[in-house]
Amino acid sequence: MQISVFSGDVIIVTNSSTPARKKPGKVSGLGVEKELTLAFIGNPSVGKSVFFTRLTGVGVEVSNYPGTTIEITSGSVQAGARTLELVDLPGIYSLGAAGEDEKVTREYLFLKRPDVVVNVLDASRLERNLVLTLQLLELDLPMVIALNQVDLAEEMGIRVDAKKLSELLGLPVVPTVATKGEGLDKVILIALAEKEKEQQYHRVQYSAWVGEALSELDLTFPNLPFCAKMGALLNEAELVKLCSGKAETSALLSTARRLRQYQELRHSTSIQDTVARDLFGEAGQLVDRVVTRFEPEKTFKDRVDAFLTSQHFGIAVLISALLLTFLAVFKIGGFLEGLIVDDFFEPFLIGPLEEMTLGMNPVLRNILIYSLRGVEAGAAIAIPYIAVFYILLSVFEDSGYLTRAAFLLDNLTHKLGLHGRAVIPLVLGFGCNVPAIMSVHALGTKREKRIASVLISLVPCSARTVIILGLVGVYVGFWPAVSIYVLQLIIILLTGRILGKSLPGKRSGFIMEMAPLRKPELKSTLQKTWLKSKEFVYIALPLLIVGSAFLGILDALGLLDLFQNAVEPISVGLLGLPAFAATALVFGILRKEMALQILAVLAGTANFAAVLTPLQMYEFAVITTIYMPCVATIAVLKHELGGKDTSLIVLFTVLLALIVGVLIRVFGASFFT
Amino acid sequence: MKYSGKARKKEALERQALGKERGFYSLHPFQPHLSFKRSSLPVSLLFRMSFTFKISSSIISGLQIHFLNPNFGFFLNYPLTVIKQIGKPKPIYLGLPNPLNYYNCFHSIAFFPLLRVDLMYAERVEEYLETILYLIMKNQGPAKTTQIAEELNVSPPSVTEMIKKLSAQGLVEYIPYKGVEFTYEGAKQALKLKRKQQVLETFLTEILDFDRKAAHNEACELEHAVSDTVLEKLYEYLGKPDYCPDGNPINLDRCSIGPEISLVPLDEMKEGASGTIFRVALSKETKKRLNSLGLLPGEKLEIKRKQKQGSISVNVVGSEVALGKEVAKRIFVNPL
Repeated sequence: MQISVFSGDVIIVTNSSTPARKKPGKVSGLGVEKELTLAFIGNPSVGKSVFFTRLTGVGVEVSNYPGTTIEITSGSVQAGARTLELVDLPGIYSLGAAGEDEKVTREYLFLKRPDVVVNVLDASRLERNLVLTLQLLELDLPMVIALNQVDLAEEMGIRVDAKKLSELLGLPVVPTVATKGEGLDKVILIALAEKEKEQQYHRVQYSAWVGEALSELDLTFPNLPFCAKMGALLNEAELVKLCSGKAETSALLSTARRLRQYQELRHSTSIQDTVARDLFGEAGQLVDRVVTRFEPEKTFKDRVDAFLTSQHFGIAVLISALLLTFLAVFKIGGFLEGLIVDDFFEPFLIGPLEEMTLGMNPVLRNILIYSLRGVEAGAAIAIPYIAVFYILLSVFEDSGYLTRAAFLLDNLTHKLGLHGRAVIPLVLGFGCNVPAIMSVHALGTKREKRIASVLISLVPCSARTVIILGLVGVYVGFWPAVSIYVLQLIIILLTGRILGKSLPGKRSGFIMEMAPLRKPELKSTLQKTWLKSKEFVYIALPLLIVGSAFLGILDALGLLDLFQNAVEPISVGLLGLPAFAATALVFGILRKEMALQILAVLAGTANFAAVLTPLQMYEFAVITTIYMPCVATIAVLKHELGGKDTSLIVLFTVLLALIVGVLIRVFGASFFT
Repeated sequence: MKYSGKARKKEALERQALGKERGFYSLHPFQPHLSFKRSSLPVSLLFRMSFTFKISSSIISGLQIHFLNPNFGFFLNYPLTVIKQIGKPKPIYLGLPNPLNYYNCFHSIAFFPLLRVDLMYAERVEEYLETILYLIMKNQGPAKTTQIAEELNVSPPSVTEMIKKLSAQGLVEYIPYKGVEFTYEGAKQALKLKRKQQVLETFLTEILDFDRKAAHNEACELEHAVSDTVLEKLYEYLGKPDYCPDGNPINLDRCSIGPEISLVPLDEMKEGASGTIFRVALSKETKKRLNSLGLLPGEKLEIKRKQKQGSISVNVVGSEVALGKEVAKRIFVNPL
């Protein structure tokens, strides 16, 4: 299949732009020197982000579940002599719907007015995708359609006649396969040509009485754009405001209300339903004319898909997938850790440094050694685990398994006062709590966001996994380490159950598109893992080094002992931990895995078995897992829920950690002798 | 509060009395559920007797009294229908043509006139009203007596008898060769009953987690005992839903009596089954989200996966959408 006519040499894709995660309001600043803005818009999980990443090289996270892109991402591309700004918009199903993603996209579209819109369609789900296209056509923006995933559609027995679709809609349609990079350049080139052209777009034929109401509005408000009138009829005040630029909004809305009420009474049906019907009807007709279907073979993929959510095996697969993940992280991560720590850092860096600095000022020496230990800890303890975990997580994400898991667990999550969708952020929480909490916004009601946020901050993230596996897994055993996860799971379930029963507020239903199962692409998986690990290195490592150095100074000046003595009644008296563990815990607030690294620094050895009993290690790991979310998590919690809820969560986790710690000390003794 | 022996006895008797559809009761002053008292005027004592029926249950909508005592031969089987004897006791005056005879024997139990009292259970009446409503909705015309007999599993003559009683109460009208039609009053009562049943059914399924069939049966039993005040409170508590769990509208009026459509809530459909969405009875926001995913009335769907107690996923407009049970049970489908 020869799709890409203009290959590589015409478009020079620059990789110069930095990941510019910008709020919609700030994008304009970038647009000054750019010549053209291209906005990618389409349904969730049709491949916009792949498109974008392929073109710009900017790391946009791509996953096979709806709602990956929350904020607007932009990057730039060199096309011949021109510089293009590409904008990746959150996926939306229709212009009318009221979710947060939809709002962001809509605002961008109306307020920033991109020069050309690239509407990415999923050929395998064309009918539903076309509804958004039909709505976009009504905005009269220069537009190109990228008919994506034609290969997947072919596999499912759907063949789309792109030329005919282009004739029917009145705008260029380019078949593409974004994951393989086919047709991407052509889309950009056609989009550039499209800006200058006058276009005659296809119009939706609405039901007679909707048309009547529209033409009546036309008479009264001749200057307003079509979308404002349609929005007014549908009672979408926000859409009207965006469309009409606030002029005559209230007059339009009230006129439209009268018309709507009159017509709805006459036809005893709601206008929203009628318009939706008309749109879907139109899309259906279009699809009938451009799509040829043939019976696809019952593929291996279908059978796997059915198996994954089948009555008996679904849950078994899910549990074994989770267990395997942890086993893999434990084994591979542990192996890499040994390689880095024992075979590289200790003999080649730390040893020589200690020798070299023997005669130096103790403060300076401490700074040097402690910061090198920080680097060691960051690079050698955390990265192997985090990288391995993210590889597996991204396989789950990309393949679309996470949505299947959400589907399977809808029933269980109901008991926690949540619905199946919450499984995705909860699982993401195992990677890092921060993006997990950021993604709770897709859950619907405030109540669900609150419950999910509390639960996520209890999920052992990869940083906590480092402690659990690195401390308990290595020095106590694999199964005790697993038992911490089980314990944590029980705590999460109980907390969820209590919150689900007691927290007031509305529940929303579980509605989620199930993207087709996809074979995870090696490139995308590696890219994603690289992005996450890079983020960790950029953000965490400096913090680690500075923190360690700071600790070194405190230690050299003797201030550390002062703090340790102050909290000794709790740390030693109540919890039975060594005094220096308290300091480690304090540093754990900065980043969780730092608790372990600092513990190693303070203990003066990375062989914890020499300084801690198994029970103490177990207790320390559990307490670090529960107490207080890390600084970054607290920051996003505050952003999502506000200060009051955040402080409540922090207080709750600290208390819970104390209680569980004491319980382990009292009852754990019998297990560890 | 303690139950006095007297109260308990009274209750037991009452239950016993209500257990029989028609019974023979002696007009003895000590019958607690069916008491009478003499009029205070001595003259009227001879000629008129006032009976006060204190029937504490509200489920009796009327009664027929037949004098059966041979001493009062010409009163034999003289029916006296008391309509709307609901709750409030109401005196009934009976003229006695042979006062002396009666007067002399007044204190002897044997000479008390034996009355046959047909208690017309409200329950029975209500059942008839409901059946007639159902048939009228189904036929889009009068309900045939044979149909009624079939639906209620009784003999056609007893239906005819009951219809006569109902029409005497002004609830229905019998049109020869066509069937039974409601009067204005009858339609009002029948729709009220229907609404009662639907609200109860909604309550049972939504709040008490009954399954739909059980809820329907329970509601049929309960509806006869629930007062209007309780019902309105219940309706408010449920958030004033527009649709019953079976997808039919709750607030019908006389104009909108249409045939009931046999709809299936989406969550009761089997894997692999398909149908057309008929109605989405959910909040506006949820409906909007569903609309944008293609789940709107008129669209065809096919159940792709289903979990025993939980979520369901459907193929609609070429894509797969997973829905929670709480959403699925409010989407009503016309199965293919």
